[in-house]
Amino acid sequence: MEPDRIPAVSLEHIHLSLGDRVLFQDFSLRIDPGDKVVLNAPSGSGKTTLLRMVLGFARPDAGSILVQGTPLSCQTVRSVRRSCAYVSQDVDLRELPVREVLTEIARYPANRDTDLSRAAVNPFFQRLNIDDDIWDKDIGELSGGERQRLGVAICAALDRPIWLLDEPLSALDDESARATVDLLTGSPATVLAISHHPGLMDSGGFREARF
Amino acid sequence: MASDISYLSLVYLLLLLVPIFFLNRRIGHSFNTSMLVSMGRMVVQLALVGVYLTWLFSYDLWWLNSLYLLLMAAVAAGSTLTHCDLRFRQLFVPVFLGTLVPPAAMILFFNGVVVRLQYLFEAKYLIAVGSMLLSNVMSSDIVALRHFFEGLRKQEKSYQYALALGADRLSALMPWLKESVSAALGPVLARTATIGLVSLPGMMTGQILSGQSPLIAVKYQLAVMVAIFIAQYASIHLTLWLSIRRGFDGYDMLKPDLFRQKK
Repeated sequence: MEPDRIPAVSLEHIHLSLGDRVLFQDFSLRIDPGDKVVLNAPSGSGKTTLLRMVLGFARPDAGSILVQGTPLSCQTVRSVRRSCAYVSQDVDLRELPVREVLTEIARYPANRDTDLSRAAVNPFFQRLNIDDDIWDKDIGELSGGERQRLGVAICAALDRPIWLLDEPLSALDDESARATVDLLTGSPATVLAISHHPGLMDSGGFREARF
Repeated sequence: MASDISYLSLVYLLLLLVPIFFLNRRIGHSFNTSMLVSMGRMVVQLALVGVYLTWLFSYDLWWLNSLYLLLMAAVAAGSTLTHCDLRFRQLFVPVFLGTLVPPAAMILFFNGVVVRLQYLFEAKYLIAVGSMLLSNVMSSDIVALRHFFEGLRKQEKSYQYALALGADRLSALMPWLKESVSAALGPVLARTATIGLVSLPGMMTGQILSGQSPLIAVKYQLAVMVAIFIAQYASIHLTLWLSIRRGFDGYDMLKPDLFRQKK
């Protein structure tokens, strides 16, 4: 590891309490560009909150978060979000046909230079064993596993330098999980994932961060 | 000119509520109290309106008439926030401005360009048409704000997911904005499409009863309907836009203290 490299994500001395519960107390984590990190901590310990803090959806009581060297603040949060791709635990896409979801995402200001056409996204669908007929399905019709793979495929198609993934493998069968892990380990992006799936650690491409 | 109604005749009409009261008791309907309260409030409120409008019309001062319009807008904004369970401290100013500005601009246009009044602030028009615009604007604002904030609160994760996927605040909010505008204006357009077929509107009926020719009454009704729709459209958008500016923090997150605790 080169100590002088600007970390992709850096959490420094984070404190966060929710009510009486202390979630983070002087918590620090450094993730270098291209690193693949899986967060390992007991359920309810704040792993999802940690990803949400990086995106500015939750805020620490104290401490600082830097993304690619930029301290997260209300002035920088939009550019920080533009450098991250996120898959939430329930892949909270709106209940529309997949085709319309992709069209809507392509219209977002941050994606104007990103190709989210069928031709650009289909290779990721194929790598993740997603059938071509998904384009005509409604998000509400998809199984949990299909939703997760769709989330990861969108994440890959957005081609952002940092991927934040909240349980991307929990509903996948072994074959799909392997295909997803291959995609993640083969990507040059920095990946910070929450997962209890053994496939991630067994792949050898991820290091574990415990707290 | 319509015949005057004596106070005794009004009492006769109100007495017809007595059998309804006893019938309700017999059947076991539980709305006798609310019926009496509603009717009682209406009688008191309209009596007061009669007194102060007579007083207001006799002076017919531009600042007094405008002040009255301001007060009505403030009451309408308060009522909107109460119905939507939203906090006054955060949203009174945006909702007040959104409720006041479009109807105020529309009434001045209506008086100056449509009716061609010399005195734009004439009480008869400013207050009568203004209150009609304000009450309609209030109804549609309530539907729009309630739909917007309740929908967003229920689906906040979808909103945040859109932000994470590259949306700015406005494009992430667009689905809820579109839904709330449709919910507020859909019934207005449906009512507008059936006007004259299903019922004669109140304003037209009032004018015909007061001796105006049906053709003039229709022209006024048409002008007022269009004015109401434009004011509602503008008010919904302005109220939502101003509320969004106040309702989100610097990180584009919905402020949690926007909502009142439901009792």
